[in-house]
Amino acid sequence: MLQHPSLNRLARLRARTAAVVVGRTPRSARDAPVPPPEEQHQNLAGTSRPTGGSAADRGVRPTISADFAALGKPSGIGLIWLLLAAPVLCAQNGAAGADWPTYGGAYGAWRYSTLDQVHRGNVQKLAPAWVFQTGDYENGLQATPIVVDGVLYLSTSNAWVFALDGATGHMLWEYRFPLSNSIPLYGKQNRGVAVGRGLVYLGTADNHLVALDRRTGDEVWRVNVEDSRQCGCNITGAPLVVKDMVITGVTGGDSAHRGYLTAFDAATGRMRWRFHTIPGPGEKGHDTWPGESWRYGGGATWMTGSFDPDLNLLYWGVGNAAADLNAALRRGDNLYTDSVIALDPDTGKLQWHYQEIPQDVWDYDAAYEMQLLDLTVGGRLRKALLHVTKSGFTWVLDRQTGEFLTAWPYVKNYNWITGISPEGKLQGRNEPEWGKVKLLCPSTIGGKSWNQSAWSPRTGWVYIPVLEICNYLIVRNEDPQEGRGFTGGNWIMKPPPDAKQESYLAAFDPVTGKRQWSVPATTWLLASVLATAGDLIFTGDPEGNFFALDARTGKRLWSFPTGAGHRGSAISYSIGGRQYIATPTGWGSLVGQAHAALWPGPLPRPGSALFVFALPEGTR
Amino acid sequence: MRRGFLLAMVAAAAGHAQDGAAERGAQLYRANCAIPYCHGPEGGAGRAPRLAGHRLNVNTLFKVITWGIPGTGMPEFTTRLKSNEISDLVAYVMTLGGGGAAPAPAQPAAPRTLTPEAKEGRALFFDSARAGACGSCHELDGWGVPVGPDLARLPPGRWKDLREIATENVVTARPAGEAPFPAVVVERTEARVRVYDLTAALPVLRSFARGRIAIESGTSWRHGEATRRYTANELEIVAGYLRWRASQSAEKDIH
Repeated sequence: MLQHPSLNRLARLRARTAAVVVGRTPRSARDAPVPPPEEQHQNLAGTSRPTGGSAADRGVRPTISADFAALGKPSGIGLIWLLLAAPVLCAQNGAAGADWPTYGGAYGAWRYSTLDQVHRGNVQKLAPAWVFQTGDYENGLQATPIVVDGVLYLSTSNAWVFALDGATGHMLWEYRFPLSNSIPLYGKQNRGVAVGRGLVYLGTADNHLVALDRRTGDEVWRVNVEDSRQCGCNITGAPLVVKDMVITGVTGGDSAHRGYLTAFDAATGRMRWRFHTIPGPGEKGHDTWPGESWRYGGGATWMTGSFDPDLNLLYWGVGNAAADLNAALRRGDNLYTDSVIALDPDTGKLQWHYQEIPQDVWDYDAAYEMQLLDLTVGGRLRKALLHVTKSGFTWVLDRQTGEFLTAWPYVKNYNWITGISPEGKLQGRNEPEWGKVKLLCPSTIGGKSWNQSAWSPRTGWVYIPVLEICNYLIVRNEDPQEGRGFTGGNWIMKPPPDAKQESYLAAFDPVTGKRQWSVPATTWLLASVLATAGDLIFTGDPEGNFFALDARTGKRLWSFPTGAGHRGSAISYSIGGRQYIATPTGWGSLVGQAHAALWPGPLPRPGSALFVFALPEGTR
Repeated sequence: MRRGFLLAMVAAAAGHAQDGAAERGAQLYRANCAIPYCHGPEGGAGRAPRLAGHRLNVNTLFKVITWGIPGTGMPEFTTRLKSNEISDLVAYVMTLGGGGAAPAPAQPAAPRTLTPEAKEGRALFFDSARAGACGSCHELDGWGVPVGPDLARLPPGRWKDLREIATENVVTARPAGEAPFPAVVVERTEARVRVYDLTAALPVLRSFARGRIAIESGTSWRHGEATRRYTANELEIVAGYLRWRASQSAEKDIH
């Protein structure tokens, strides 16, 4: 056993956590902790595999797997936990509990926390508990912090990772990856780590995937996913741990590159499978790419996917086709760009796909988050997948079969199509044309940027940070050069025709798309949304405010000036019965650079700090 | 005509330099040039050429901003900005010249003039359609991952059958509690041992505490396992490229 000062610290932390939580019965089923990813899977799949000692000797809060074990030898506490927690897990596989174990909060990616200690009645008392400064001010802090067993893991643009005591902010360890100077045009961005199998996984801006010992921060393995100098691609998204694998996508959709998703053995880093998002010669769908266009057709997998353990399906959103704005070299549907793909995670084989936009010429990546929910559509309860995309539309699919259920616009200003038929066909395509400058909406930034929406099972609504921005698209002929930019044109941001340029946070019915309320931003909203069982919606703005809205009305209930622009993703977690709300701060990102082109007034302030809020002790 | 117009604008820019042109130009720059994938804030990053830290010629700048560069991503601004605005923009961009933050991304070494055969071989060597292509273990002329030896330094006579080539640096790693695997040792210190694990299509750099792994010389691994993603014919084409490349190195050394 390795000895490291932080180990003792971690052990003490765990012991304290365990003592507090075991001694109390959860107030409600919603309070139940959700286990880390690997354990979630084991529970739902009904198998049990030890992952480095029993829950008891790891000193963690009771997890569901611990309670399944407890069921064998009758135990009152175990049984209560099982009864309270099991139905919640089945019905709410997208919700986070005491921990925030994976990018979207859980495999279903709702960005919803079951914690309700902070609620509409007391959020006014929310105050900083601690602040952590990373010192890496490049491109702000864009991560989703991950919390497992009370330890918070945070990553930065330059591929630094920190493990912090979630209750105090005390640093347990830090790790700095030696990033090379060869960073592709997607730049240094990092949206978070994944945690599982005793390791912390980090994707880097020079295209490495790195595994660190969760207790010490020591590097265990690293693999160069593809030389970034060649592919012009890198990793900016958070990896996803599924079963005994860690899965990562890559950027590259605006370069002459062929996208893919790669799975690695979580323990050894050995590659298990790679799925190319563009079929190669002899593969089904290859004929949707003429000539050599398949080699350079984009289809990046730059955000994080979702996973349904019951269906054993891994979902990933695939980005735009390249060249982005010019399809002259790729006439055809261009599978599987702008598609949702569902893979068997054990083999990497395609189970189904749904292409939202055949032959994309607007740079409308379909790479964003996919929320897995059960929704009643047309009178039938469906296992659905909600996909808010760059194009200003939200697609609703059957996640078992890939069947199109419905799609609705979440922006007011769109003119790239006139609508979508009940069968899912795009109607009235309005394409950019060579030799013309066309004003098209939404812009290549998207009706929403990559910052994530949230879904609350309590209101049943999805909360989207909307951008009403258009752009001039100018088509250009371009020859692909492997790994180099391949956009096939230019874009210049413009306000919508006959409407004001604006941004707002809005609540929508996920099936009808009916807007329930909306709250305008001073400029725009580029931070993710967090929903909680306290019926609160949290997000931050470029002006530096971190604020809470009433999930039912949109009424602003609380706000705190953090002093730097928000481009990250807030989370909630609980330690020792105390609920924390954590938000990264610090402006950055490629889209963030466009701020001055779009909005008057001062530029958002850079920075790189994690602010963590809680109710003062004793608050009810 | 055009030349006279440009000269007039250069003169205007020089005149403006004293009266806040650069400040106004900075606003224009942020709105027009720092957009995603172009020149980046303060001229530091993006797909377009880096502006910070470069010696820029004021005449060229005027010309490029005014008329764009046909066939590239650089649009013309003559229809978008007024001439005095272009002057302000030039004044600001000229101030970026001496600055500079991060070093520019390294570009691949200037491609030598490849023979058609060598070009075909290089394409196979770095074929991104196969995970585990030669480039995933070998670096050559600015591309690839340097796990194996520097191929540019090896004599041309070395390149015969790539499946049979000797790999003296590959050893057997025996980690505690895990099956042995073929490895290349990268680091051995008191504290830890780092090896490339060659088991899978992509080499994995793995770190072990010193006492958790034993290294034995020799291995049953053969280079043929790495080259199995290629046909014999393809390997011959790759070998041709490597012979050509080695002869280039030899020539360079003579000079």
